[in-house]
Amino acid sequence: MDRTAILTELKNVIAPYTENKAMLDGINEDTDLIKDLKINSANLVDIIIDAESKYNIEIDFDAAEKMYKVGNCIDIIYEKMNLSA
Amino acid sequence: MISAGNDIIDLSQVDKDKTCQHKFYSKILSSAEQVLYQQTELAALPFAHYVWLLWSVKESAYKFLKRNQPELLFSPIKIVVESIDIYEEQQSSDSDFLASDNKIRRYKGKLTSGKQTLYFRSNITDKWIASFVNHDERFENVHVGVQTIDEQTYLAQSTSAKTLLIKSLNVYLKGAIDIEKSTIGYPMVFCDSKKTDIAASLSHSGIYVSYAFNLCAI
Repeated sequence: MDRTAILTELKNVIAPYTENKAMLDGINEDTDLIKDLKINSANLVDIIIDAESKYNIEIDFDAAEKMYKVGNCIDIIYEKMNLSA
Repeated sequence: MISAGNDIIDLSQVDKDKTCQHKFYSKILSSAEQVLYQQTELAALPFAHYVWLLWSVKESAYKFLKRNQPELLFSPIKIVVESIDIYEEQQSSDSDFLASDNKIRRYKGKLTSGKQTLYFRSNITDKWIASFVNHDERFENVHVGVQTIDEQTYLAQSTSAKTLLIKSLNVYLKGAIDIEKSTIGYPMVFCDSKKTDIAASLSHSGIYVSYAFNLCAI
């Protein structure tokens, strides 16, 4: 799976946690989950858990703290998927 | 270090079953913090509430620290709650909570982030959890409050939190108060268009908004 495909799927993971649906459609790797999508930080754990489940990966604490931008999320998911492949 | 950090959680917005799953709470609580829950003082606190109480403490500490460490990232596991106790003090004039929520349970404790030691006070009902963090465990000059709002859009929550903060600051400051967000993200307090040194923090969740500010600077 390439980065574009991960980004497309990531929209579905993030969707339940943002009211900013218009911006969600146009997200790119620079989009900030909290500042741009107005996601409550308490939902970041939900997003990490949902991503773990969707991609069958485990995201450790050190990786999780970097998941603020969409591009960082893709980096971590991509890296973990390749490790588990 | 004068700063301010707070967090509020609307408990109707959290999934309690999900919270109690190991894969969820282990992203927030360290092993030591899971053991801390076993103390008898916390027997009345459901585990899901304990998880979110510690989340709110850690988020408050992160906001407190970020003012002076702009590059800091929020990592719940790296902010360590060292102790937690029941806090019996009656509501005082420096805290403004919802009059209807008379069954507030109060907790206090100590936390560390790297070499920094901070202190927290948390208030919990069956509907919300509000936490506040300070560098001094006496919380002198720290004023806090919680209110409900009608509308739950991000804009309404954000605007209501600012309005509540301004109303509370008006008791202590003479002049027209305005709040602007700094580039880091914390609220800056202006009085008659002049920036003050008052450290403030805002939080919103669901139908609740909360503030904290430190008046040491005036």
